Amino acid sequence: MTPDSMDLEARLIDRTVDRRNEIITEAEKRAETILKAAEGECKRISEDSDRQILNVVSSELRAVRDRIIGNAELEGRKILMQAREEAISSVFKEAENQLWRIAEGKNEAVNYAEVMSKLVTEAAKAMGGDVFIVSANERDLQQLKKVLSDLNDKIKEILGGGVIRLDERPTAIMGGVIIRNEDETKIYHNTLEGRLRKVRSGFEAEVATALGVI
Amino acid sequence: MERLISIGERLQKLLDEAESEAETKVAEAQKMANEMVTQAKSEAENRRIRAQRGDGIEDFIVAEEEKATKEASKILEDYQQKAEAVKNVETERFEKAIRIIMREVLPE
Repeated sequence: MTPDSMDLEARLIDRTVDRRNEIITEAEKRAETILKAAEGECKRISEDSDRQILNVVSSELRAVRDRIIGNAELEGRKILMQAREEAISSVFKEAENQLWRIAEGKNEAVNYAEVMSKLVTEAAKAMGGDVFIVSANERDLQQLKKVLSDLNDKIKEILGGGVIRLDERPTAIMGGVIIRNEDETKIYHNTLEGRLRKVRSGFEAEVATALGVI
Repeated sequence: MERLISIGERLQKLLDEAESEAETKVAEAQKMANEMVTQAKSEAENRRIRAQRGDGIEDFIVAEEEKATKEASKILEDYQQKAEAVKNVETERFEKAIRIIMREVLPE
């Protein structure tokens, strides 16, 4: 064998081995591509399946969601309502404290004697009749005794008649009056706490608006 | 020359075997791919049928519960923030509300 033919043989072997390796590598790549495509297809099938199942069970899932979100909304609104109630209650509590100070004559900006006089005439006017028996707490009774004559004049002026009598038994109220007629068929509560309660039931929305909690 | 021809035949055989091996590899991969897809289709169909019967939907329910619970938590947080804001009433607003109450309680 000549060196030339040996060289030729060696090159032929090298080229063939290279080609063999190429064939195998290409096949491996194709196999990998096929498997990757299959994996992708499987994923797509699974996702399609999920979507189809979601359509099938959507009403159940909606019910689950509605239950959880609904409860949270309910709980949240309850928390907010409680906070609003607390804010409104704190205002009414402060108003009550201020009314106590007024009733005890500790607020010089308010003429409580005049307030009492107005409460009596307002109640008498609303009730109508001839005789008005006025109940009040001990402190207010003492005040009313001092202005009883003036009050009677005012009642006569407003109603064209009628007489005010004081019930000597003190009543446990913050302030204001409770007025009844002689045979006790009519009674009118014009107490400060009663008026405060009335305001709470009638003006809560306005108070809430002023507080900015509506 | 004869030796070269003999080597050429052997090398051609090597290439033929490589072609055959390559075809086998591709065919096996194709077979495996077909099996994977067939199995995925079969599983998907079974899941769909079970879902129609109401079976096997626990995972979806759990996932929906988790999603909704997160959303619910956010909703509650928002309400709690609003509640905190409501509790911290400005002094001016508080005093205005008191004035409204006193105006109505005290006779004119």
